[in-house]
Amino acid sequence: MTTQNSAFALCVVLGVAAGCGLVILLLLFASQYSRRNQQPIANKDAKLKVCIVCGSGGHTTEMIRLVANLGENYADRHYIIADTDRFSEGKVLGLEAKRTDGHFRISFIPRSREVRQSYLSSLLTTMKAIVSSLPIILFMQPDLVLCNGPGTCIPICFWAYLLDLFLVKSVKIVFIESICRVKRLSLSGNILYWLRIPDQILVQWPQLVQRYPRVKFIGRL
Amino acid sequence: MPLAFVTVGTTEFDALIRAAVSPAVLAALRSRGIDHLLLQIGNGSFEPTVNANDDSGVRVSFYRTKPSIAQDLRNADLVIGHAGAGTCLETLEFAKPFVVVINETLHDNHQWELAEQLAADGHLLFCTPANLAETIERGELDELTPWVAGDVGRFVSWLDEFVGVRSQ
Repeated sequence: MTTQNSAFALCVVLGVAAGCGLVILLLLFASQYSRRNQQPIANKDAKLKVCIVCGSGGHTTEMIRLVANLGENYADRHYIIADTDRFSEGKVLGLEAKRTDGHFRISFIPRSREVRQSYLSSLLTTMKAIVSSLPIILFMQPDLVLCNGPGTCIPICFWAYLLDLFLVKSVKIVFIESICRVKRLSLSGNILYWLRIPDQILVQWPQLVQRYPRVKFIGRL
Repeated sequence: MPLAFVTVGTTEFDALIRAAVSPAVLAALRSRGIDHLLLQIGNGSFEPTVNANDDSGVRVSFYRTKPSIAQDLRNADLVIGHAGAGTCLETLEFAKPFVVVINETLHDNHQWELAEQLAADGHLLFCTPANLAETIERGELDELTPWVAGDVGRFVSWLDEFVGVRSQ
């Protein structure tokens, strides 16, 4: 009985792994050959729907700094915050209190991975985050996704990427790597880089461009 | 009253606090003309002995945390900090002589990546608790290269062009 059970469990695990592998391969293949929109998505009068993913702590602080000076074209700002993260909510409300143009909304999603959570249990919470971020992205249909890690941003980027890949909606995805990353991309940055999900990854140290040729360095931000 | 300020951020770093109040470091501080050592010790379990003026001629005081350490950074003539990115970048804005002490017991050393690079670019000096005293005595500490903070404007204009709301 136990051997049967464990054999069954093994089959399920292998099946799921093979399925995931196949999906990833298909996506990689599709991303190479699909006509993902390489053109700019807007003109100077456009009002853009922007999805801004606020990671937590330092990530949120850096993100708020970046979006604080965006112009009036970025009129519809939709912030995404992990549901346990009151700090980020406060930061967003503080920023938006100073803005008079356009409007903003906040959505909460489960966190992909708490600090010090094991990788196994984080697999489960990641699944939860993937599922719960689908309706958000489907209803939002953003023109632009801005994120800078950590894991919370991956499910969001993933769905936004699929919208774009299957030509539902043209979406630009931009990942901004932290200034802390001098030699290597962060875990989120690496995952997104190798899956080729963002349209652009910006880094803040020039030596990263040698190691990761598809990232861009436009100076310290 | 020349001030040295030690900060460990929101973590704990007892080895740094112990080193900072050791006779060798107090003597090194004194040789730089410093007569007040203020320590922000975070969650550390080691509390330094507070004294008005001991043999070394350096007054020692400490606190655990504050909402903002900006005022202490501004007042300081020398800053000694842990390698946290937040601490490094905030301190660099004040352009003070700056020593970063790495915590060898922490294995998650992506935090050091930034401090190491900033040291290589001459913005700060980098050491372990064991060689803090000799690092404070080094002349380069007074000849650090000022740090130029990032420019968000670059990001905004790049993004405007990238999405097409502004033409190149």
